[in-house]
Amino acid sequence: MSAAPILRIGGLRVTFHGERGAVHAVDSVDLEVHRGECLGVVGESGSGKTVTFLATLGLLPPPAQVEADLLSWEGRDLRHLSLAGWRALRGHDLALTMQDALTALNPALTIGTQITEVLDAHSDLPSAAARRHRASDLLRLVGIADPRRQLCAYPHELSGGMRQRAMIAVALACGPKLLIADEPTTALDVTVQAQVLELLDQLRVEMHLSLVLITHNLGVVAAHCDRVAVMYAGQVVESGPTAQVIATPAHPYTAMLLACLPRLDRLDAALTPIPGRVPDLTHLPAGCRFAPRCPARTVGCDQPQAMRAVGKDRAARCHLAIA
Amino acid sequence: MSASIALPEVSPAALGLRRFVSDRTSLCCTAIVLLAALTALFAPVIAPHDPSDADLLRRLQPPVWQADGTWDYPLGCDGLGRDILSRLIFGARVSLGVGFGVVLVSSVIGTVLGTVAGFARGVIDTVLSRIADVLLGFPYLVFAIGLMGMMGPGLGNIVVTLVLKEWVVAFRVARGETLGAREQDYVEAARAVGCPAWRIMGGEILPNILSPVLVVATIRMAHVIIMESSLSFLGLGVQPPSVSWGGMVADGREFLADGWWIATLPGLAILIVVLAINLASQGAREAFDPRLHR
Amino acid sequence: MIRLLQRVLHLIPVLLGTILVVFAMTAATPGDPVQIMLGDQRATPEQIAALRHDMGLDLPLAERFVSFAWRALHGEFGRSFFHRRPVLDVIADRLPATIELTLAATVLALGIGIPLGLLAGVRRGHVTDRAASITALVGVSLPGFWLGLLLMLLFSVTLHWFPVSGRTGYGDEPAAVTHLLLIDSLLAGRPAAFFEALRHLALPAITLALPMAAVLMRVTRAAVVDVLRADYVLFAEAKGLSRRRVLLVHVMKNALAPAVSVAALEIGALLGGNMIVETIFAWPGVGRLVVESIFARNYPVVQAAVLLYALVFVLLNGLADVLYGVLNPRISA
Repeated sequence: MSAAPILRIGGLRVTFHGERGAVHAVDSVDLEVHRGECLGVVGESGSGKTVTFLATLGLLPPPAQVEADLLSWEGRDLRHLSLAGWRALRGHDLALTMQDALTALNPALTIGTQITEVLDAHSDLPSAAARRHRASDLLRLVGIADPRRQLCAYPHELSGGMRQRAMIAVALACGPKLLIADEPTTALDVTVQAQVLELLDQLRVEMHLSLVLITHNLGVVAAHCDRVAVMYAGQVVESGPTAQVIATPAHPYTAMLLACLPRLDRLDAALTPIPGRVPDLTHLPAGCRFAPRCPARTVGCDQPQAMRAVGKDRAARCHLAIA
Repeated sequence: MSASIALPEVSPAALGLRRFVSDRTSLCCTAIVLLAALTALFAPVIAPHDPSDADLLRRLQPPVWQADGTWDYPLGCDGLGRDILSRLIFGARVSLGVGFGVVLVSSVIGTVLGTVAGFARGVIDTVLSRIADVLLGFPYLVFAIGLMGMMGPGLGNIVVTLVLKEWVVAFRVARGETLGAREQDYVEAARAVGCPAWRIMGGEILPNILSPVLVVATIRMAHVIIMESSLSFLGLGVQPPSVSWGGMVADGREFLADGWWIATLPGLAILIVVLAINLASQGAREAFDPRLHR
Repeated sequence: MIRLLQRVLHLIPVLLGTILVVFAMTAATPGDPVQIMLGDQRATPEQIAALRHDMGLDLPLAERFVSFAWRALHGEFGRSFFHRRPVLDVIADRLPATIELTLAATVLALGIGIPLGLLAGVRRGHVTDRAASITALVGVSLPGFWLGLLLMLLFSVTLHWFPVSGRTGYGDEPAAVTHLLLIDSLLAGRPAAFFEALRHLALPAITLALPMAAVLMRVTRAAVVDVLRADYVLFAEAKGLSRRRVLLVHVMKNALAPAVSVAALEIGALLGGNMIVETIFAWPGVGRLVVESIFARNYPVVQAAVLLYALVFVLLNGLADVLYGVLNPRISA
């Protein structure tokens, strides 16, 4: 791993106040992204992975309640950033892509417009023609054939894979330093998934991009991410270098997630799902949130668990964890 | 740890009703409409004076809160000395009567035709839909004024004219719902058993589409009341000695400077009733809409 | 292009149907048209029969319809009973006044309704939204004729800010180029005439515009609230676009489409409403002509004007369809 972390999140808490009570979507999340690395954030639906990064980008306005002990980008404190500050940062330094490009792209605007408006907002390209030229370059960069023509296309006219690439082009238009890709492959066919992930790897190198890959797919993480953070019920339960976490998971949840995966070298083995259900975020247990479903549950699990160091650069939220 | 799932003990309809009743605005507005309806119904009993009783000595007498007003004629008198309050009360009969009557008749006609068109499809559907399209393509008031202008004024003519325009609304709703309903399993089942078409329509489909038709009907009633009063204002509505709120406003036009209450108060009555209907139906839609509540 | 032609073709049966409806209206007239036309003049039975034959009233209904439709499409509506001139001429005389009023009202309604709807939708739940929504609800529940009289009572009779009726004060009017007083007076370089025309136009235009503005506001607000929930709005913000751009480009482009279709329907309401407004404010337009003609039993004029209104409405709706397709590219595909 190189250099200092460029994005630091410490003690992030996000609460939504609804009809049925307070929903603690994210609780005491600590994450770091280093320059040039790819961080994978894994978890089931509802684990808080998307909300964490929406909050980090300041995209969760009231009534969401966002608090953090530490939230910094390249040393700048983001917690009290002004609206103008956010506008300057988003799209230019930090970028986001969303799960479904069909809903993320505006159906009433052409692809070209959706790229050039980012260039308009952040870059100092002198003319509209220059911007269109750059837009077409970007489309070529993400592997879209005949980019000049596709500038005039509407999102629904593109195939799913091309749309995803176009969305990536929009996000990367001004050469941001960090791209947060929320479920970049979930809405795609399997073959296209591989292509998009390959594209992201390639762009990482070409554009010196740092990447956060939010996904529920451990396979994706294993193949493309340097580090991984596993989330459950709004908390990070394990983090560390991908290879180590997958080889020797420290938290029971991580272990059981890995055990869920069907294995090609054991075709006859039965699938082992995790019993029980994800807890209701309005009524969380006082102690370990995974305890009700955990086979290793013992005395001491009814206390709130903190992240413990479990070896170099690794941590897990379980008092039973050992490296 | 197992979460128990609570099954609803009350039907969605009852739930919606409970929500509706607990909303103060909706309740208030429904009360206002009911009050107006009762006033219309019991007009001869409630009205303090005969609405046609004219006395030039009372001409342009102001309402009670102004200098020369009296409690005998609390809302003042019009240009012919007739009591405004009594005329308002009797005017309610026409406005609400026409509103309710037109909506009732047009809903029945529209629903029947719409269900038939949606169920039978084919030529019947095409013909009926084309007719509906043409009628819909006519600007409402232009049609009403044009037809009333040709046919001549009067209560019967107004009802006919407005029904001709209103049935299309119920028709479209019923047709749309029927098109959806006929794909449902219970209709397939009825057909498989050999149930005749009219029985399927009446027994299976109709009960299920009544609810949206009813909701639309309440919204339309407000519109019909405004249309009737507009026609009466122009002199194309009910004729004297029948009283209508629109006609009262027209009467007050020439006295705008000296007797502002003659034109203003009937219009206010229309506004209050229509507003109440609109608010109540909005509240009803929100209370019964399953998407807004969990 | 093909879609455009398809839409035009679809309009034709509706147009024919409209003509049929207007014809049927005439047939509903009680009384003998010939007697009405003669009025107080005395005529022998032979003269009446001859007149009847001239007017084609002794032909079967179907033939009468065809001849009516044919003549209508050529702009022949007979002669006005009252004016003794071709009906179309009489209507053409009054048309500019109605066009000016309707245009002014449409511009006002769009200019008030849509921005207010956007504001209310964006500030959903706040005081601004509540106030605007209640105002719009009242606006939709108001009888138009009452609003006109109220405005007249307040601004003309009591405050004397605006004249009570008419289109101009008594004075020389600017040279007629477009026959729209506002534009003509500007073209002639006469600001005084412009303001005088504006003063007369103000109350009728506002009366006509407000109910439509209320409807537009509600529709726009609903569309905006809906659109604001969309992912593409979040994505646009994540790109660092200014709030102004997000609202005016991303939100409005999607929210305008439903507003446009409703606006077209509402213009139909305007067409009817202007009959009432012109009557109240003694505005010398086609609407007032229709009402006058009804009471004068001048049926050819009523017939022609109604048909004209209806045809304009059908065409406007067709236009709105096209506009909707332009604003919402997915529909055209």
